[in-house]
Parts: sequence; structure tokens; C-alpha cells
Amino acid sequence: MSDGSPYIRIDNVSRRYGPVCALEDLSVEIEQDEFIAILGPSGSGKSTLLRLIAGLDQPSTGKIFFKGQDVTDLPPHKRGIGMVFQEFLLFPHRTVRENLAFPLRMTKETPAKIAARLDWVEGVLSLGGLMDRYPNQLSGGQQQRVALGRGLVAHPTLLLLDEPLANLDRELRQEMEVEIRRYQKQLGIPFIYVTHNQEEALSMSDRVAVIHKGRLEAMGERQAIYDHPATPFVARFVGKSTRFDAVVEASGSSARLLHYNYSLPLDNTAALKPGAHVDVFVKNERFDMKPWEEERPGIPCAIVDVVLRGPFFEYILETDRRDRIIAVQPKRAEPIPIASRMLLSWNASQCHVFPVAG
Amino acid sequence: MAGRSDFLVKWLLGAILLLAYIFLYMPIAHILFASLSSHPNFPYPPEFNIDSYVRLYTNTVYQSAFANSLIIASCTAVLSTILGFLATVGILRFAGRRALIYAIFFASPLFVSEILLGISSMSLYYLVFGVAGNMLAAIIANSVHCFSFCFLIMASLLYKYDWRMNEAAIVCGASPVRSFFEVMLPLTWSGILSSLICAFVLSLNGLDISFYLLGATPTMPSVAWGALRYGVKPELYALSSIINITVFLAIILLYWRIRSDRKTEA
Amino acid sequence: MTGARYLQPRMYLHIPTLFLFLFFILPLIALVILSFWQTENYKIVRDWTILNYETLATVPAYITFFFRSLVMAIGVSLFLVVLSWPIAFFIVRYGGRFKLVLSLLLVIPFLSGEVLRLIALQGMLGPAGLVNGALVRLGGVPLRFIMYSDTASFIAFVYLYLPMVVTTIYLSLLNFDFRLASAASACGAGKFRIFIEVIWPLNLSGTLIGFLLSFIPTLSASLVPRFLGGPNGTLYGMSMAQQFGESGTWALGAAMGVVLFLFSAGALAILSLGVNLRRTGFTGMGRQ
Repeated sequence: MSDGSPYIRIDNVSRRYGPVCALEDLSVEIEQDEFIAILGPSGSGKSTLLRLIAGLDQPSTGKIFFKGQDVTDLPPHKRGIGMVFQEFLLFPHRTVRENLAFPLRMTKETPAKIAARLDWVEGVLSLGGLMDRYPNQLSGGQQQRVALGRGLVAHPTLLLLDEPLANLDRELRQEMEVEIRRYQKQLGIPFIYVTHNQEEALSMSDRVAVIHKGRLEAMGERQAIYDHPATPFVARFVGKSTRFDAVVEASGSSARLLHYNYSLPLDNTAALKPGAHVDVFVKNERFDMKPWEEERPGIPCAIVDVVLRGPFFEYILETDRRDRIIAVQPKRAEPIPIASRMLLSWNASQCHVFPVAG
Repeated sequence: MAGRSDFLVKWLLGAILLLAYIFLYMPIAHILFASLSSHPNFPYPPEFNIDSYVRLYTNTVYQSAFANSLIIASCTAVLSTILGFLATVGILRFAGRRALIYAIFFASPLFVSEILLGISSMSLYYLVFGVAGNMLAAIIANSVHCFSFCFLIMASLLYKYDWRMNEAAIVCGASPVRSFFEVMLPLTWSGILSSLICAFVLSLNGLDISFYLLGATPTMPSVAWGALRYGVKPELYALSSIINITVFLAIILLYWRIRSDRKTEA
Repeated sequence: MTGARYLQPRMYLHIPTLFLFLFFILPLIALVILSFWQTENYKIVRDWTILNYETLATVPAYITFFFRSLVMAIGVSLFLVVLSWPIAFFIVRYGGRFKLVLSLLLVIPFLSGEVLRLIALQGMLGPAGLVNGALVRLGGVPLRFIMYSDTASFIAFVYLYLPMVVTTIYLSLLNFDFRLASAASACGAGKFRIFIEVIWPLNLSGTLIGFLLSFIPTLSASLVPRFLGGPNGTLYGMSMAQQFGESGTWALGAAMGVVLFLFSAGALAILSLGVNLRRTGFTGMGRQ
């Protein structure tokens, strides 16, 4: 951050297995104080990317730099990283204390230094009382904290996390999301966090990299990724939304839905020609739901079911064409009764329009 | 993980494996060639002369010995497989905290040498019955030894079996017997069959146990042993080759069946 | 509706236990009893005495046999462990789809039984056998030491028990989670450290079992020293077998057997007590 070059630089990295391309031409720059989430569906290549950064795998092309130094050919144990695995992978034959001390012993730290670091990590991660137990004597949440501790104990350059919360139950997960972000801010090293859970990614990170079929679909501030998705995939994958078919109207400044009598103004910066087919993505919470009235513009539909989700309602609506749409609305005293006829519309600036490929 | 040293290590290890195979199979191959040759001592270049096989076919001493061995081996195979199955199911299902203790106990015959099993069984029969032994005693003593093998084989193959399958069958209306035959057996037949083959072959070829419990009654290994003492005849090579090849084929066949079963399962 | 269970749960364990007790434990007890008696003129005299044990402890021949067997057993077993590790490691790491075949191919020779395999070895190593015959035909000199010598016995023991040791270590490595090696690498451990700190300790129990599975049979071997050991190659097991065979001194043989058993059990106990199960990663049996 001080001299302008990024802390971690991934430069045009690819990973091929014969004809199959797991990662293609990926470039990412990460600053020292950032929490980066790598978000993507299963098989997108996100775990491959993490393993390349860790050194557990070699890129077919491209280079990786830590603090300006080329580490592409460096094996993992010389990269000074910390890593937390989904299955924890604590050494079953060693106590918690010995697991935590392991990275320090590998760098041949003095016993005094080791003891000091162990005390530090015990305090930061609240591991008091667990130090002399074996991993199979710990609960899932405790094991996860020990795994985190083992990743952090040796002053790593960065911490890599491979879906570490996937094996925990929901409540614990939400607690840990807050905790892990807090540790990152406290320690001031980059955390690179791989997940397929977009809620996790959005709640913990500063920036999100969305990976799909081995390519970087989008990278940016988490709010920007959510509110202004760069590609149809991001629009579909991040946040829950509904997709409509539409076509650009003759004027070029509006689009009309194909199956419904509804038009929306179009901010045509992409210079789409009239008649071009487009996808319109509307996030479920952006729907404006009003009681049905004649002559009002919108999509008519009927409420089929209501799902109570804590602070909001999910209304499941069915249109005349038997399409299902989910609209999320803030909670009221009573949900709108089932079978009520409603009209859906939305603010044109709050939807995402993309040309249809091909 | 630098590629080149990995490559070297891989080929070095592979070479050691290959040497191990050669070391293990060369004597067997040598005997095969010897059985097919008119110069049993140095059968190279290899011939294809089945004289010794023909002589084997007409040799009554070998035949009766072999018949005895077959009887002992089949009975031992069945007995030790049944016991091994009971032990495996018992430990995996019903033993709870004491599972490890039972497992060690059931595996303990492996750590007592065969000869010790032989002479101790012989001592018992002598003490109790005043007699050196008989076929039944030989079968039982062999079963003790083979039982441990069967137990270990079936335990390692049944370890991953999901016992809730039995419950699923029962709630579908199957009686316990039915659920065994329809649900459990198809999924575990490989363990049972491997165990049968292994016990059969081990007791067919095992000398120490049967020898002490049968005295004068000849078994195939004891006749072979006699040949070792007084001079090996080529018929012995023929018999040995037949047994080796049969065992080899049986195991390969078993492996094929297991492979194709796994494929249809997945 | 429930009616009678087909087989009471407890019976599953009781039947094999009873079987083992009757036909494994009792014979051993019988052996102990016999060792305290005497044999005279091929008849057993039920005279309680510890004469047999005195004989074993004082007659130099028996002591020699025992120590020679001990040295041979330790040497063979150590060699087999060292030899088996790379083989088992290769199959597990690089075997891929062929793991099962590769390991089965190693086991099959074992099933041929001791006698047949020794016959085969004799054919190979004997004075007129493959190795020497080839050497002679090529104009060389036959190797004397590979037959009727301690070297021959050593080779034979390795030949006999290699499959068992490899299989034991193979099974142990098969159940080893190699991702722990990745975790250790990410923690800063190089290849050598990974082996010493993670791979070896977690497979120690398997290695020890393999060691014992070759140590104990070698210690008690009777056939190998008899047919390949040569005139100075008498080993303990062979001498013990002779007590029950030619010399007809069953009581002494029984005493030798008891000593052998105690020693094997002792070795087992020492090795297993020296191994803290926890420290080799054992976390419990089975999954219920």
C-alpha cells in the first residue's frame, strides 16, 4: 500500500488439466488490509484458485506475487501463508497446543517466542481450557477456532480460507462470520475467503470476486457487486432475483416485457438496437407490490403462499401465465391474504438489463 | 511441489514395486516351467511337456492326500467364514465400547504362530482324549487360524456398510431373515466370498496345523513336505502349479465381479 | 409382530468368543500343563516338574537357538518394514484405479502356503536351481551362500512374509487422510518434516502390526531353517518341532512352545504399550 504495488498480485493465471480448463486468464490484485471473498458455484474453479495461491498446485500459465516477490515456483511451506480448511484438518494425533505450535516449530522459533504466540492465539480465539485436548474431543465450532488459530499463529503474509464455515450449523456460522471479519481487521493482513454462499461473501468481505466456469465474472466492492452486477451471471447468482424476457422498443429508450403488458424506461448506454432481446433481472426485494387496479401498469398476479422469514415476508405469486414470482416485502402486522390479486412493478433504475447472448 | 523430484521419486518407487513382483512371482513361474519340462532342475528354455501332469493324474498317493486336504479346506472355509461373519457383525453392530477389546481378541490367533496352534491343539486332544487327533480336530484348529483372517477381511469390507439399510428393509415389511438375504447379502457377498476363498486356500496349503493333528493321515502339504525331505518329484511341481494357477484365477475372477458390481452400484 | 429375533444380538459375539476359548485358549493351557510334565520312552509321564524349563535355561544349544532366532526375526522384520513402506506408499499414492489390483497381486503368492513356496524357492536358489544353473551356464561360479545358509533363511523369510507386511502398511496408508499432508505443508513443513511429523506417527500402529506379523512367524519358523538353513542354521522353532517329531520329547517341546508364546505376547505387549493410541491418531472404532 505504501509504494503503490499491490500486496498480492495474481497475474493472468490459468490452470488446465489436459483439455479441461479449470481457470482461465485470471488477474486479481489484493491490498494488505482487504477481506476478499471469492464467490462462485460448485465447480467454478474457486477452490483451484485458492490452491494456486497457497502453492498446493501449480498454474499452467501466469504468475503470482506476494509483496512484489514472485512466488509462483515456491512450494507452500516457503510462502509464509496460513490456511484454514473446510474439514479443519487438525492433526488428530496432536493436542490443540501442539497443533497450534506446529507452524512455529517449522520456522524454528525459540521456545519463548512459541510460548508467547500460543498465549496470544489462546487469548484472541478464546481457546482457554482447550489447549491440552485432542481434536476429536472438541465441538465443531471449537475445532474451527483452533484451525483458525493454527493459520494465524505464525504471522502469515495472508490467510486463505476454504469454505471454513460449511460444516457448522447455522447459528454458529453467523456468529463466526462476524468474528472472522473482526480478526481480519484486527490483524491487518489480507484474508482470501472462498465460498459458494453469497450471503457469507457479502456480509464478511470488502470486495468480492465472482468466478464462473473458470473466469473472473466481476470484481468489486460488495455493495457494487450486489447493486450493479456486471454480467447476467452475477445478476443471477448474487442475490435472489427474477428474470423477465423483454425486447427493446422502437424508440430505443424503453424495453417491453415479452409476456406481460409492461414497459420500462431503458438507460441505453449499451446502444442496444430496437428489436434486440434483453434479459431483465429484478431483485426480489425491489418489487413494488400494490393491490390490483384496472389500467395501472404492472404485472397482474395472485398470492399463492406466504413464507414468514423473520424480519420480512416472502410472497409467492402466480401470474396469469402460471409463472411464479417471489416478492420480498417488509413485515407488517398481518400478511396480505392468500388469493388477493396484486400488481407488480418496479423502479427502472433498480433492475438490471442485459442483452441476450447469441 | 517441484515437478522433477516428484517424478524421480515416483519412478524409483515404481521400480521397487516391480522388483517386488519379480521377486514374488519368479519362483512360482520357475515351478511352472519346471512342471512342464523334462529337465525339472533347469527348465530353460521353457518346454511344454505335460508328462508330469499325466503322472500326477495317476498317482494315488497324491490323490488321496489332495482329497483329504480338500475336505479339510472346505469345512474350514465354511466354519471360519460363519464365525468370522458373526464376529464382524457382532463387533460392528453390538459391541459398543468394548469393540476394540473384542477385535483384539478375535485377531489374536494371528499373533500366535501356526506351529504353536498346531502343537497346543495336539496337546489338548492328547490330554483330554488320549489321542493325537483326527480330521475334525484338524478342521477346528485350522478354523481358529483362518477365523482371524476371515474376521479381518470381512471387517474391512463391512466397515462402510450402513446398518440403517436393515432398518429400512424392516419398515418396508421384510422379516429379519428376508432383510438379510435381500438387502445385506448382496451388498456384502464380496466379503463373504473373499473370506471363503482365503480360508480355503490357507488351510489347503497350510502345513503346521494339520500336520500335528493328523499324524499319519496325509494331506497335500505333508506329502509335499515329505518330498522336500526325500527329493522333489516333478508331479509335485505339477500339483503346485495347478493350485497356484487356480488360486490366481479365482482371485482375479472375484476381483472382476467386485469391480463390475461397484460400477453398477455407482 | 416382533416374535422371536432370529439371533439374539449378544450371541453374535458369544459364539466366536466361546469357540476361541475352547479351541484357542484351552489348547494353550494344555500346552502349559504339558510343559510341566515329562516324557520318557515316547510316553508322557504325569510328573509335575520344572525340569524342562531348567533344561531350556541351562543347555547352551537351546539358548543359542533362541538368540539366533531372535536376531533373525528382528533383522527380517526390520528389513521387511523398510522394504514395504515404499511399496505400499507407491500403490496408495500413485496406484489410482489400480490400487486394489496391485495390492492383490502382492497377496496372491502368499496364499500358496509355506511348503509350496519353499519348494519354489529351493528350485530357484538350490545348487542346481535357476540362479546357480544360469550362472554356471553363463560361465560363472555358483553362489554357495544362497543355499543352506543363514542368508538363504533370511531370503526365504522375506519371501514368505513380504505380502503380509506390505498389506498391513498398505491398509494403514489407505485410511490415512493425505489432506493432512497438505495442511502440514500450508503450515510450513517441508516434505521430510511432513513424513516425520504427520505421515509416520499416524501410520505407526499399522507399521507395528506389520512388524509383529513377520516377527512372530519368523521367530517360530520350523520349515525354513530345516530345508534352507544348512547345518548351522537350526532355529528355535525347528528345534521345537523336532521335539514333537523325531525325538518324541513332547514335554520339552511344550515348554519351548510356552516360552515362545510368552515371548511373542511380551513383544506384543511392549510394542503396544509403547504406542500411545491417541498419539497415533486413533479416534475410535467404527461408526455406528
